[in-house]
Amino acid sequence: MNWFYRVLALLVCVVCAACSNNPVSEDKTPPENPTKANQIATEGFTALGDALAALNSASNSELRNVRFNSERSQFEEALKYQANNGVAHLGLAILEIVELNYSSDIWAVVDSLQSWGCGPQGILPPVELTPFDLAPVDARHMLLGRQFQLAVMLPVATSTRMAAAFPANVTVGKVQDIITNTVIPALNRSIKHLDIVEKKTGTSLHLTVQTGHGTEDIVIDMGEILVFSAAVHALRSGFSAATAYDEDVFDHDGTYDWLDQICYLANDNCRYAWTVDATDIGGGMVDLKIFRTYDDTSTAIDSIWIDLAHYNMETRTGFLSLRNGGTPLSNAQTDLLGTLTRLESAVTFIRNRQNESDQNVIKLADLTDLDSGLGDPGAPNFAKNWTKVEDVIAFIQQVLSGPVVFNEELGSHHVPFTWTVNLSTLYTNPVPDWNTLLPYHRWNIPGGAWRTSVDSLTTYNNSGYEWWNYAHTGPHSCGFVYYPSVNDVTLHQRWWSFDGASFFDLLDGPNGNPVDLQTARFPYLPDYTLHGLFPDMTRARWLELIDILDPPASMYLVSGRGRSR
Amino acid sequence: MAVHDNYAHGERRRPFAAFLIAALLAIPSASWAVDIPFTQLFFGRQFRSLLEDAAHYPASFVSAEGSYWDIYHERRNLRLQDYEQKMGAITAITHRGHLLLGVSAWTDRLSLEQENLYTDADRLTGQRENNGAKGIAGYSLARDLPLGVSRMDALAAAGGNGAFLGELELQLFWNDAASFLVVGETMSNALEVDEEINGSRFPFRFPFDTDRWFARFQLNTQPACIRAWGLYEGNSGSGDAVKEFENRVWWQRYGVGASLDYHLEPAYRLQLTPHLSPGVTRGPGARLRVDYTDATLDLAMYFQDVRYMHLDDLSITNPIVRLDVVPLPWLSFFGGWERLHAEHHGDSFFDVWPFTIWDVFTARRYRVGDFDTHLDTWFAGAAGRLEKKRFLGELSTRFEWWSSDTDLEWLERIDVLFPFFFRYESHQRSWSLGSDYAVQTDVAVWWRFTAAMWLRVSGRATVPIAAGGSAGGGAGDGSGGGGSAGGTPATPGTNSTHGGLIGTAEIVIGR
Repeated sequence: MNWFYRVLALLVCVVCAACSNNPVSEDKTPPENPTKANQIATEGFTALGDALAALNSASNSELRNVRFNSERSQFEEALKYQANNGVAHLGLAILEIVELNYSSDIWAVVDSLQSWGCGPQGILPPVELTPFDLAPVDARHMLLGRQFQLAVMLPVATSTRMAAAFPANVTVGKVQDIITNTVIPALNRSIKHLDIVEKKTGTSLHLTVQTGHGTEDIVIDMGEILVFSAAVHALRSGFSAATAYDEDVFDHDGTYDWLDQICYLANDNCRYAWTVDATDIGGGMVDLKIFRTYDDTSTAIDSIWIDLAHYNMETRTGFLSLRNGGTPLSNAQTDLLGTLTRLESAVTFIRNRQNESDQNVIKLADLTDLDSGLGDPGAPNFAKNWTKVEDVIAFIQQVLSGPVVFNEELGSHHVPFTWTVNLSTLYTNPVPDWNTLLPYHRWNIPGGAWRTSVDSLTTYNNSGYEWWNYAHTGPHSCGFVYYPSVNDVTLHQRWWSFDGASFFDLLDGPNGNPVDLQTARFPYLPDYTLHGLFPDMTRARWLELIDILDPPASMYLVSGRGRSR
Repeated sequence: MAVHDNYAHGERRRPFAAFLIAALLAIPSASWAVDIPFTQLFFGRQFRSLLEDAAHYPASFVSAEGSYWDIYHERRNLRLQDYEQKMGAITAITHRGHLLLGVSAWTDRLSLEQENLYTDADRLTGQRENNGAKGIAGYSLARDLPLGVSRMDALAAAGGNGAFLGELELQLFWNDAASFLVVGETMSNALEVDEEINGSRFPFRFPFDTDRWFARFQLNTQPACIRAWGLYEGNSGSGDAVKEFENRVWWQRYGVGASLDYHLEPAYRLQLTPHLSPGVTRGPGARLRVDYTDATLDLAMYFQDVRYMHLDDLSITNPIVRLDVVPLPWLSFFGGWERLHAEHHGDSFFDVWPFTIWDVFTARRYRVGDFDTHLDTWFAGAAGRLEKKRFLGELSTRFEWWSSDTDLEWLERIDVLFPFFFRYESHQRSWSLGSDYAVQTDVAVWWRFTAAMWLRVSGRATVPIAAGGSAGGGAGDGSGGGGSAGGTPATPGTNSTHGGLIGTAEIVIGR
């Protein structure tokens, strides 16, 4: 470096220092002051609670503009006084999640759903959804209310939404991408803050709730915080699992236009109308040609569903196959185990809580009450020895970690049966493609002619009497039509039918012969362990289980001395 | 007797709470509501003064008294409540100069039965037994005493009913112009409840301690007589259904009252409880009586030291206005109005979590916001009187109209972000009971064999004639956060009828 550049660099440094409000030498970090940090963070926490409670009454347009900038500033200000302040990090952990409201990607999905009027006719009202309504719980509860329920219901909710309400320009894959790229990173950041809080075991805060007639004081300590942390881990686990497989249900065009077709069919006001063609024959008389269909709509909708299933299962590559190499599922298992660990810690904390009071949200009495519901003599064997909540947690940990042997008396005759469940294999060695586990089968009408019809033609003389019925009055209109004097009537009727057994056969092996499930008792599977989920199950054992649960009439003969086989 | 459990459904804590709530809601006709309804039934014998009683009896006497109550209350969803009380008592008192000595023994049994608590298969039965005896000692001094007192009576009684029972009384007179009475009592008792839900039984024993004080000042002016009184009653106790189950209840009430008797002379005073007021003024006239009681009730319930119900400052008022017109010495007509009014404007709460263990994940909680209910009774009737030497008979029949209106606002705690953030939603509901009609008949007969020996029998029957049904009131929800306001469909109210029978008999042998 020659002298010119040395001088230039020096000048830049001087200018930068001069432009700065704070001298470079000044220490911007205030001295550590945990009391001050707690005070600021608690104020921020209260403000955050008020802001979230107010969202209940916010309109959709107001909701998308909600910002939590001042609350974030308060938490960050508190961290200046104590870098590992528990309340501030707890507040930030919550903020990382609620700030998902800022995501334009999420709002784009919401807007698309809202703009979708269920087909070009706009028959259905716009779907009212907000990011806070995505939880499949009571509408009064927001996204994070009842986290456990949300996590449990997430896959169901996702499929329900997809099947019934997703517009054509939104795919499951795009939603999964949003979860992967936006939601899970937010949860990662939240959990990072919670990790800090969990190390600050003395963290607690007092909050005041306005009741409308007064106030209610509540106390939050590590018991509640650990439960919340467990819930966030469970939430991340649920989201991870929701992104594990390709769950799009495309039609042949790779779109969701089939939703519009179903929507149109299901909501066509004229679907029950007859078609009437009147010919004036003079003297004020008409001849009528009437066309009527039966089960047209229902079989047409069923036909679309079957066509979708056939296309996605047989033709489309990737349907129900693993995305991203199974990483989301291993992450989901880790998070589920983390959930249990935190619940266990929460239980331990609450049982040993020094300052138990009415104001604690989760009380010791809640745990003892849960305990009292365990140990029922009538419980299954695996639950018979549970005496406290910790036993339940330990059992779920065992189920999630490896094979568990169950030995129960099943069926109405209490027949002992032993089997093994290895749930962990679905996480550690996930099924690459669920299609490969389906029973042996074949599609009989791959061309798509899923329904058939039978016609009948009848003519009769109406003797000049009147005739009226609900019928088409235009291309998209219908109403009651009335003819005062009708002579001849030609009635053309068409009965649509849909025979489920005709398009799909279960087989007794690869390219095998069709089987009757009533006779076979259990379908023939390529893998009776279901990819190791039930490692010791064979066809013979499945049949044994079916016989226990649904015994054939000849299996148990009633006699005074017991059963005979 | 196997005790099944519904622990898994979190129903273990239901029994007493359900019972108590049902009882508090089951306010029968104001005809019975001389006191706050059911407090007397639940917490033991009628609270009355031995000193006052003794004044109406011979100097030395033995009395035997028995009474029978049967009150029923039917309403939809809580189809039948039946309360039956049987009481018997023997008392012997003698005056020896300034001293009063006596003994008293009694048996008192309350049985209650509620059917259709939750489903047709659910029922609740309960009983409270109170058997005991006490010794009585009193001292009476009639002469000029400080503060112008012309006479002073003091009395103490002690005994037991399985636990210590004590009573103190003091009565002061200023000639006939005024009097002051104070009565205090402490006792223990137990309520046993057996609830059956879906075939599972929940036996519950609830022992409780009661402290009661009553003070009254009476000014005997003419033509108006003025009384003012105050009362305090505190109850606390803890009980269990099975050994793991503990529930504590604490409640107390304070009350003040005033009464005005206004006689338009010459008045004919007709009493339906002649042993308490044997004095009769003859001649046609009218009598106006105004009573007013205002009581405050506090109630708290605990489970394992966690207070899950707290009802603070439930105000209960009970005004009564009655006019008697006496055209003939043996006939009177009367009419009046009585209101039992309860209101609450506090911030009480009732955690719902004792009823379902899964609410631990939502921490749902309800608070009583504003509560206002009143039961109006309008009555009109006639009374006749027959007196033949040693026989006195009185018959009174009255027609009653009942109606009630209730406004309730409750607050519901909603979890915004469990377990940190909550908000409250406000709900309102109003309903009214149309007009119910009933006939109440009182009969009292009194044979005086001698001046100091008599037999008295009295009875009361209330028979509902028609239940006017009720109108479900406007109901609405409002958000505590100033948010969405909506309405919930009005729901039909509850049809409700009340009725019952009371009978008492007493024989007194004295000299």
